[in-house]
Amino acid sequence: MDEIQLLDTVLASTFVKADVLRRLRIVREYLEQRFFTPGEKKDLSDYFVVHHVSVDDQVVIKSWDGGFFKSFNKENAYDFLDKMSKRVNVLPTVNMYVPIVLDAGQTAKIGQWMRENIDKEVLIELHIEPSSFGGCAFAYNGVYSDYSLRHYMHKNMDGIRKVLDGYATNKP
Amino acid sequence: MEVISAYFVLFFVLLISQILTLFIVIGMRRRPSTPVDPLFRESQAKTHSIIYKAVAQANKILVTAELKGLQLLGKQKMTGNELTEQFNEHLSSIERAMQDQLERNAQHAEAVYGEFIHSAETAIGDHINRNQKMLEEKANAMIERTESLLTQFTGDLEAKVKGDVEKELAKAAEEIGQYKANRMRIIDERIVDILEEVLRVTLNKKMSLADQSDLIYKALDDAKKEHSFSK
Repeated sequence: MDEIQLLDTVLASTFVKADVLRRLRIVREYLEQRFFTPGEKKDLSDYFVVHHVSVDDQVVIKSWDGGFFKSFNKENAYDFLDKMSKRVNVLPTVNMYVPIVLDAGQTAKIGQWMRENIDKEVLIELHIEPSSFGGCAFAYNGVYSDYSLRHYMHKNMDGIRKVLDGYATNKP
Repeated sequence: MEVISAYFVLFFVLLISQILTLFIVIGMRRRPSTPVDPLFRESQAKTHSIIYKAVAQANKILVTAELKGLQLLGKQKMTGNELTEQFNEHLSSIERAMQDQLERNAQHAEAVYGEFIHSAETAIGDHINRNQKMLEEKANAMIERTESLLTQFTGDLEAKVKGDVEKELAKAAEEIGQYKANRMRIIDERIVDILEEVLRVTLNKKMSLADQSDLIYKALDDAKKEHSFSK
């Protein structure tokens, strides 16, 4: 696999930009200890344990293991990783503002939705916004859109006003 | 002068003839009547006859002279009167002529003056009429122009005032509308803040992570329907 196919493999199971960069760093560190560090060579599982890699990252990275790591060698490892990192930085990104911390499954679900509906290579930059409630907000291509509860309340402001008017009218 | 000299000659002839007659009468009375011979008597008769004839002739001459003188005087007098009359007549005729001339001149002058006055009156009247008409026309034109200008000015002013008032009203209405919209927006924001806070407090603990995740999916679906990702 070349660097494009390698990155496609990463992107197929990773949807958040920070996760992509973190997992590429883990891969880089794993390959460094595998190719360039003298001494005992740890396998992937041992490496994850020794370096306290999160379970989510372990599951995802292990899912690439088929031909992914076999594509790297001493000569191309840095070159491939550098090109992959550079490409990640130019991929389309959606900045999402959510009121809660999403787990990996929810993030993956949202990521797949975005790949299907926005761009097949889009990445998410997640921001936790505790002051908001319900729904989410996002910025894409420099345009900010708020679809939080505040947006829906503004959208239905006439109904809210009627409710309040009715309340004020019936108030003794 | 001729008349005076004629009177003088006539008077002188009469005086001589009277003196001569007087001498003869006195001579005859001084001689006494004596018996004279017949010759004497005859001569005396003849003398008397001659004297008588002479006297008669003298008287006759005298009378003739007187008559002549009278005629001459009369003639001369008549000539003077005639001259006077002619002169007077001439004077009268001249006077009449002059008077006529003067009258004609006066009449002519009066007529000319009258014509002049009439023409002058006519000319002045025409001039006055023309001036009056011209003044009236100019005055009417000026009045019409003034009225037109005043009407236009009033119309323009009215339109300007109306436009300004409408602009001010529109501006005021716009400012009121904007103020109202701003106030409504602030009130809406305040209402949203309050509702959001109330919902957060009341629902945050009751909503599961899955529910919140569903809300995120719904938000993304709505965004897609509203083409928010294609902007």
